[in-house]
Order: sequence, then structure tokens, then C-alpha cells
Amino acid sequence: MSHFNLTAEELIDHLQAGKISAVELVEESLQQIELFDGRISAFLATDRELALERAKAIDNSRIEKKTLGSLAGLPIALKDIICTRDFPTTAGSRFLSEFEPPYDAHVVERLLTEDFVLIGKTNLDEFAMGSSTENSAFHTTKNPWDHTRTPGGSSGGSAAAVAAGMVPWALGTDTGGSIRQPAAFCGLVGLKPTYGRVSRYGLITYASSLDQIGPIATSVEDVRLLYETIAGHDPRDSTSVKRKSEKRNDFDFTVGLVREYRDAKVDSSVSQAVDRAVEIFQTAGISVKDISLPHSGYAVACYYIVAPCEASSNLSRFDGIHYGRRAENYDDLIDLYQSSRAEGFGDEVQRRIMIGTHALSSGYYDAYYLKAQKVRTLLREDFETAFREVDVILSPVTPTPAFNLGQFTNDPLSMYLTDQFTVTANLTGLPGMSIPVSQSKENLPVAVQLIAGQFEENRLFQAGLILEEELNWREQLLQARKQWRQELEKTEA
Amino acid sequence: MSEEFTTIIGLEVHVQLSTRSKLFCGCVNLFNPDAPNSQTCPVCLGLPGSLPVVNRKALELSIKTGLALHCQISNFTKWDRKQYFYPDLPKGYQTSQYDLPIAGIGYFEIESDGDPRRIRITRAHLEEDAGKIIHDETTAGGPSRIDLNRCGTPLLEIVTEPDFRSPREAKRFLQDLRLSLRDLEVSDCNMQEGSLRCDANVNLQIPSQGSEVTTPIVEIKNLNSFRNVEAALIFEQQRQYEEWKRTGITDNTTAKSTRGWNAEKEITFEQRGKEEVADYRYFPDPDLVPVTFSEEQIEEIRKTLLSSPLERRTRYRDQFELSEYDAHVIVDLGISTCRYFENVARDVKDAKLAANWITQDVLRERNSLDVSIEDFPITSELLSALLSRIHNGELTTKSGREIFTEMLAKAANSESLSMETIDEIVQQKGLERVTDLNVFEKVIDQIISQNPEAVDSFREGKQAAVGPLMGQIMKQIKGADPSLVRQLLIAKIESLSSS
Amino acid sequence: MSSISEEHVRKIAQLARLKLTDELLSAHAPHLRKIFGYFAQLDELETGDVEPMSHPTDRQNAIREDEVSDSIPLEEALKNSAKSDGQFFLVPRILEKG
Repeated sequence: MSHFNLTAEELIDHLQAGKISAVELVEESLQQIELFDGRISAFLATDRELALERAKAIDNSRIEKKTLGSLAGLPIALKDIICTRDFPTTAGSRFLSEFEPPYDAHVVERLLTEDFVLIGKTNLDEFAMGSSTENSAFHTTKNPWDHTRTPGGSSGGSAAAVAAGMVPWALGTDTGGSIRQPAAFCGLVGLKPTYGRVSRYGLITYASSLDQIGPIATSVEDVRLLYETIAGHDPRDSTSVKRKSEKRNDFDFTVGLVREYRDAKVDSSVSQAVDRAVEIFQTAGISVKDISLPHSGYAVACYYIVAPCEASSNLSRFDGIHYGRRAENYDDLIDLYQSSRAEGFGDEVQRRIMIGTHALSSGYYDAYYLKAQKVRTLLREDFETAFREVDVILSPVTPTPAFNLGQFTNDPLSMYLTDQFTVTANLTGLPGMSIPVSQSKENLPVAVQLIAGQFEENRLFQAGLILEEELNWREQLLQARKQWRQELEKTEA
Repeated sequence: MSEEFTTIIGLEVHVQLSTRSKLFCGCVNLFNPDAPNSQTCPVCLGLPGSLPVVNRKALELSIKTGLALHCQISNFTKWDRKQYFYPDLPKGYQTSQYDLPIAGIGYFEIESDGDPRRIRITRAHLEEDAGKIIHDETTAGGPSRIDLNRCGTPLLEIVTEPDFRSPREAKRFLQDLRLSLRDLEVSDCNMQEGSLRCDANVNLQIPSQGSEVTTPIVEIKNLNSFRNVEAALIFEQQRQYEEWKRTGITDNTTAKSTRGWNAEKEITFEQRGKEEVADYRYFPDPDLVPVTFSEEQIEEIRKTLLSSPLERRTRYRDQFELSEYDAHVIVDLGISTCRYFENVARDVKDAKLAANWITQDVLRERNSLDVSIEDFPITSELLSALLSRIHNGELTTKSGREIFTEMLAKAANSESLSMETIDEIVQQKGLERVTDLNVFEKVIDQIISQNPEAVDSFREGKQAAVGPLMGQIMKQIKGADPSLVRQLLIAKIESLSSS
Repeated sequence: MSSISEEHVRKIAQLARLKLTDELLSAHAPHLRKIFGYFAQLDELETGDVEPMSHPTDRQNAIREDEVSDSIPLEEALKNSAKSDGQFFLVPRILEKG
């Protein structure tokens, strides 16, 4: 029986009670990776020795009754876009395949202070641009539920690692849905916090005004624990906020359903999941009413202008001169830039850089970038109006469960359109959480999304707990894991 | 200004602010070419994941400069990215200000043929500096080297309207701007170290066939001293005139071009044209949030302003009746020396005396000690005490200088100086000005009787014979006024002859 | 603005310092056309009086005091560079900036 059948919350109790050691947990993690990751390919790099060393040190400290962080000894995986000192951080890109940052990200410092054990860095779409992890320069990650399908993206590696039981939880990043969508595809709980609640210092930036780091785990409480560990003001990030999440002790809230989403083309399993969630809320005495987000239909266009614009600028620093890959052959300085960047960046990254460069260029700025920033304001006003009527908005996460690998290779625009439900939270800085509800006919996880007002993460947790308690979804994950293990043993035999 | 054309000049001045740390990170802001790349961090290196946070002092110094330039100070300011690729710019963009600069329209007065003239300031904005590229002058084809120590240091870019009408005016502006910013401790404005840089835009207005034409604007770069700014502009205005006479090309048909200044050959030369007209794709920097200033904050900074060099020179001429030259020398020495001078002038009530001593004795000794006026051992209080006694006749100038020298010697010996020190030295050296005529008479009589040949010599017409007698008398009465002694001596000798 | 010619794509790539072979250019162009065609729907919205949103929160005045903090050692600064001589970053010879 795997230790990771327990939630992180439970594992902490066990660790503190001495029922289990950090070394045992790390060894379990490394074992699971050895067993499953050959097929899943969730990880880009692990550091076995360092992890065991740290775990040993933590166990000794515990025996010697020294003070330890509140979550000491728990293994964690980090999306490889978060800087870890003197340890490879590639952002899933050939450009940074040899890059070792000379510093730790803020969230890494927080984790180390709490005595977590870092197991490794997980796979992602290059520079977080993508919804399937197929844009990684290194390899493609498979969905543990079905290896012919994507785990989602861009935090696909983190989600797959948690789902497959390699780590109890992981950090991902979310710019347009990149935590919530993989969590949904892999049957996990994933949170994108309010913009500014988690420091971006040390996060290799994709889109500065949209990116947030967040937790992916197997329960709402685990997500909450991890979120509170990493959230908080950091003076090194000018966009980091000082305000904390509102305390919410009452369960007195209302839920809203988006009128405009009613006619959206979604898989029947998805609309059924939303219906199921409505049912659960109503049974619990929580009123559910209709609200309107009149401009939500423009959100994808808005996002795919703003994000590439910021990205095109943020990625200008990858010039091959001060760090990162430099082309071997070039004629002159301009050629050095062009060749290094062409060799270092994959297709999707190049595409988004070009979209952004064009949308910011002279003569087009007003029609694209400025326009999109105005539409953001309209969207924010939509949500402000809606949140006068309700506290939490319920919607699908994606139009379908996990899609097939290779499905959108020749159709980037169609891939973009699958983000229609998630981009709104990034554009408006609102917190959003995805929570698994059911399985589709193909036994793929289906989730719903909850969005709340800025700094209202606790409302999300409350609403999530209500669903979680009723559904006991985690059982299904554990059943699935059992099955995967059996299948593995069968093929190995 | 010539009769053939009118020169129109505008300046773009970059001033490196005197902050301790860089604009967006805590690396030290220090000119250090000997230890390249030793003053960097993830932020100014532009490493992935690094983020900028703005330096308070840079904001304050910018506002201070804006106020000194009579600019409108924005209550709300923001940051924009100016995007281009160059090896000294690690992020591939420069964080600057585009549409809401920290300081708006203002002016700065310069002297021009007597009357002060206002040069309008278009704007002043804050931006980060790029690194330095060292080109390989030796081996053909050798790599260029990049030092990012300077990258991220705060620059204030000050842009003037094209209000200058001569190269001389441009130079005067730069000189007074430099003085002003040094006085305000905004920047040390050292062109050699690059803490003040200047590009000039120049073209001509030429009367032609009853109306006026203008030549294409030329931007001159690579100007590394005020002298070179003036020389380059003088050269360029003539060059443009010759060119127009030869080709007739006006700015209707040609866009602005860039030329460099070759200080050795003393010519401007066309610089390699850019392959593309730069599209900087400015947009608001999403990693930085806006900055706001209250009126109270701006007022607090306004209180730290000083008079401008021009204002001070005018005041010294008008109020203290100093000569043009003296006023210039003192103001050029900076605000601390000005304060020193004003203290002394006020206490002694003799500005001319104060000016003389400060521009000569004090300046000379301060230079040889290589200290600032603040560290000069003889404070303005001490100098005032000394000069007051000269002014009211208690001491001769000669004695004063002796005391001055002695005080410096004591200071060099680590002795502390005070008002009492002056008295002590006067006593020690017997420098009290002797005014008792009886004392003079006695000594004069004595010396005359001891030197009959010299007296005869003088009576026969040899004026110079008096010299040695003077020497002997002065040795005995050290505090005597030499001219008075001479007067009495001669009178005595002449009175003798009549008996 | 729905027609993006291949010439245009070439210009954009140059601005962005991306080397595109003719093949890649032809591959990218139709996708970009489609995507920008999709963006055209924003023209339906009346936004004349709307303020653009640069930041999702109203955070202002994130200011730091003028204090010096440690720089990173020279070796670390140069560590990830493809070409350095132990003191400087090296690039191919640059002719005086025009």
C-alpha cells in the first residue's frame, strides 16, 4: 500500500507522530518514479542523492527534537519553470537545457524553510505555452489515466506526477488555465491563486500580468495547505500584494451559473458534471442562480493577444549572449541572435512571439494590445457585477475531458479555443480552482471550475469541500492507481 | 550667430543619478571598469525569473531635478518597455518612461550676451542604463567584450526644445546644468566617467529667395566633453551650410541623420545607417506597478532646492558687488564654497575681501591639501574672525597671511583650531598692529640714527635707500602697516634735513 | 487586419530576431492569418471610453530603499554564458553602433 494513498495532511500527522520517516517517503517517491515514469515521463530531472540527504537530515532533526517546518519531510515536485539554485531549470526549452540558475525562486525558499524535500522538476509545455505538454522540447508526458491522451498543459508533468502517485503534491503555474486544466484532466484539485498572492520572483515569466504559481494535489485541504505555505508578500516582486485572503468561517455563500456558457459546445460528461455539482450545492442548502458574463465570449481573443504580447517581450532576453544556448554557426551579431533563438525555441513559442511582436508593433498597437487591455477591463466589470449577486461562480474547466495526443498539432487556434473557460480568471486576476467530479464514458476524469472574487480563496475551499465530501472522488483516484499498478505488473510479467 | 543662417540646437542629456544602488536592484551604483561584471545580480543580468523593484532615491532625485528645472512634476508615473536587441541590454528591452514621464515641461535659464535666456525643457524621464561594450581596437575581427556593471544604473534623460541659437549657448547650458546638479547632489556629472552624456540635434534656418528654408536635422553623438560639444556644433553648422549651398537639400526631402564627432580630426562623420528604422514597441511594463506622489511629498523635496548658478552669480554681482570674474569663480567651485563665501562675506561685511581670500589663499591651500571645502581646516567662522580683524585694521594683510599659514601648519600637526588660536598666534608672533605713533617714532628715530649713510643717500635722491631702513624697522614692529611706516620714516628724514 | 502576407511575417520575424527558413515561413503564415482573423471579433466591442487594464490589482508604489545588497560573484554571473573570457561576456566583433 503506497504511502501516497494518504493525503499530505494525513502524512504530516504520521510524520509528526513518528509513524513514518521522511526517508521512507522519499524512497517511496523515487520508487514510484522508477516504476511509472518510464511510461508517463512526468519528470525532466530528479536528484536522488540530494533528496535522500535532506530527508535523512530532517529525520535526524526530528529525533533530536529540533525545530522543524510545519510540513517537514514531505516530498514535492516543481514545474521546471521555477528556478532552483544550481539545479537545472529548463522551462521545457532547448534554449535553457544547460541552464542552472544562481538563485532559488521565492516559493522554493518558502518550501525549504518549511523543510519540504524537493524530488525533482516536472515536464511542461515550453515556457508554459501550451495546453498539452506536447510543446516540451524534451519529451511528451502521458496522462496516467490513458497513455494515448494528454495530461493537459502547460503543467502536465506536475499533474501526471501527482495523479500517478509519484509525489503527494506539486507546484504548477497558471497563465491561461495551466494548473486547472491539467488538474481536471488528471482527476486532481488545482488552484490558481488571486494574482499577486504568490510571488513570481524566480518564476521564468511567460506573461507577467497573468502568471501565478499554484498547488496541484489530491484534496482540497492539501491544496489549501500548500497554497498557504507559498502565498504572501515578497518585496522582490513589485506585483506581489500585501493583502491576505479573506477569512471565511461561515458557509453562507451563493453559487452562480454563467448564462453564456449554457450554449457552449461541451462534451455531455462535462455538462453532466456541472449539473451534478449544482445538485450537490442545492442539497447542501446553497442557492444557485444564473449570472451573466456578457463579454466572456471575447476572453480567448483577449488572452491570446495579451499573453503573447507580454511573452514576446519577456522572451527577448533569450538572445544567447549572457546565458542559454548560443548557435554554433552565425555570420554576424544579428545572425547570432536569429540562429540562437530559432534553434532554441520550438514552433509554438516562435508563433506566440510573432503574434506578440506584431500586436505591439507600430501601427497595430492600438488595434490589438490596447484593445485587448480594454476588453480586460470590460471582463473585470462583468465579474464585479456578477459577484454582487453571488460569491462563487461554477463552470466547466474545459469543453472535453483529456484529448488525444497529437489532436491539435496542425490546428493551434482550435487548441487555444479549449481555454475559453479558464482564461477569464487570469485576465481579471481572480482565483480559480478545478475540482474533479466524475468520470466520462472513457473513464477519464471530468472536473468543474470554481471562481471567486479577489482574495476569496477561502470561499473556493469551502465550496470545494462541500463537493469533495459528497463525491469522495479521491476513492476513484486510488482505485485507478490500483488498476494502473496491476496493469504495470501484468506487462512486466 | 551668422547673417547667413540661424543655428537651431536641441540637446538630449543623460545624467547618471547619485544613488547608492541601481535603479531596479540593490547592486552598487559605482563606476568600476577595473572589475568587470562584479556588480551584477539576477535582476540587472536579466536572468530568467528576475524582477525589478524601483529605488526610492532615484525617484526623489528625479523629482528634485525636475523641480530645479521648473518642470511640472507628475503625481502619477509609470514604466514602459523600450524594446530592441543589443548585447549591452540583457533583457532585450530597456525599462524607461514613454508617455507619462516623471517630469514634464519646464525651463532652465542661461546667460546669453548679458540677459538671461530661457531654454525650454520638454521632459525629463527615468530609465535604466545599459552595460558597456568594449570593442577590440587591436586585433582585426576580435570579439567585443561586455561589462554589465553599469547595466541597471539610474539615468535621467533630460530633453530640451531646440531653443539654443549658438554652440556657445549649448555649452553654457551644459556647464550650468552640471554645476546645478552637482550642487544638488543629484549627480557628479562627470563626462569622462560617463555620468553625464550629451547628444545634440542641430540644423539651420537659412533665408532664401524671400522666405526661409531649413536643413535636415543632424543628431551628433559621441560627445565626451563640453569643449567637444561646442566644437562639434561649430563644425557641423558650417558643414550644413556648405552642404546646403552645394546641394540645396532641405528637411522637406531628407529625414534626420546621425553623425559622430571625431575629436582628433575635428570633424563630424556620417555613422553607419541603421538597417531598419527602430520600432521600439513601447508598452507599459507589466512587472512594475505605477508610482504616485502626493503634493506634500513633492513639497518636501522642493524645500531641498538651491538657487541656480545663474541666480547666484547675479546675486553676487548685484548684492555683493563682486566682479563678473570673481562671481564666476566662486559659483563654479560649487555650493559648499558659495556657502562658505557667503558666511564670510556676511560676517566680515566685506565681500570683496572675502572673495579675494577664498579665490586665492583658500583655494590654493585647499587644492594642495586635496580636500573639499567642508574638510578644509579653516572654517568659514575662523576665516571670518581673521578677515574681520584685517577689515577693521587690527591686522595687516601680511600678518593675516602669516596667521593663516600658521593655522594650517597647526592643523597639519593635528592640533585643533579655534578662535583662541588666532589670538595665540598673534601674541606669539607679536603681530598686533601697532598703531601707537610714539612707538613708531622711537623706533624710527633709533634706526635713522643708526644708519646715517642711508639717510644721506635718500636725501640725495636715492629713493631705494629707504628700503633697508624699512626692513629694520619692520623687524622691530611686526604689526606695523608698512605704508604708514614708510610715510612716517620719509617724513622724519625730510624733517631732519630742514633742521 | 486579417491579411498577413508572407512578406509581413518575414518582417515580424526580423523584428523578433527569429530566423525563418522559407519553409517555416510558409508554415507559419496561414496559422497567423487564422489567428489574427479570430482576433477581429474584438472590433465588435465599443471600447472608446474604457480604461485599459495593465495590472489586475490596484497595487501601487512598490518601492525599495536605496540600500546596497550583495552582488553575485563574477563566476556566477558568467557561469551560464556560452562564451566568456573569465571577465567579460564575449560576442562577435561589433562595429561602432550606428
